[in-house]
Amino acid sequence: MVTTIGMGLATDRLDVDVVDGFAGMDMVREFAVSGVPTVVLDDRLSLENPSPDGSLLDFVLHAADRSRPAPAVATVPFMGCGRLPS
Amino acid sequence: MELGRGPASFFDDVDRSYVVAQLEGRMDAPVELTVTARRSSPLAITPAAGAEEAARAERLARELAALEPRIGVTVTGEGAGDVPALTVASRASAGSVRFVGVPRVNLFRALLEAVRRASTGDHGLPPGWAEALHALPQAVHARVFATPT
Repeated sequence: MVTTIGMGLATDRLDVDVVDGFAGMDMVREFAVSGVPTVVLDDRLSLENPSPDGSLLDFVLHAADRSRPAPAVATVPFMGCGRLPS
Repeated sequence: MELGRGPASFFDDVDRSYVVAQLEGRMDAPVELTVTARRSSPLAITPAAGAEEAARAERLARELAALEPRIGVTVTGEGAGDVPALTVASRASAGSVRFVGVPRVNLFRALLEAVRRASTGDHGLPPGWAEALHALPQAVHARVFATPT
């Protein structure tokens, strides 16, 4: 979580919301979050329990530029709520 | 509520000592905490949804500011939903971070860390990450789901 916070502070190109899962249950349901921490990018890409290594940055770079390959770690479309990748 | 008495403090003495230990002498630039919350008149028979948590969020921000003079507080109802939010920003950092919900326990520790990092501009990222983020071809919105414990 602190790595993502640092990423959000470092640039105005990445808007970071830290969501208390208990307070934001509507969002937890909407994005089918089943464990914490989970990072959801642009409402469509989800990464559970991200480690503060390069995969988190790769994940953000992939979200900003879909021509970049998805990192090997989980990039799971939210098929359950219709948010399929374009 | 007893007439003539304000709401109970958000922090106890242990919390206050913790906040001071985490922030005293560890900040540089001022930090602005913006509380986005739906306010409700204490005269209302039926308070607005989320009004109690909104009041807690505002109290938390104001008590933090009372402990650390480099923290300023703005409260706005514009764009507020049922869940209050606290945004951490500083001129020392290009970006900001928003906490959705009143941050407690681990999330409160994360809030203090965000305040410190925003103030110092030391974001704790590996070499090259900040440059890569500045070069993002389009803005990205990240939601980090966490729990207090």
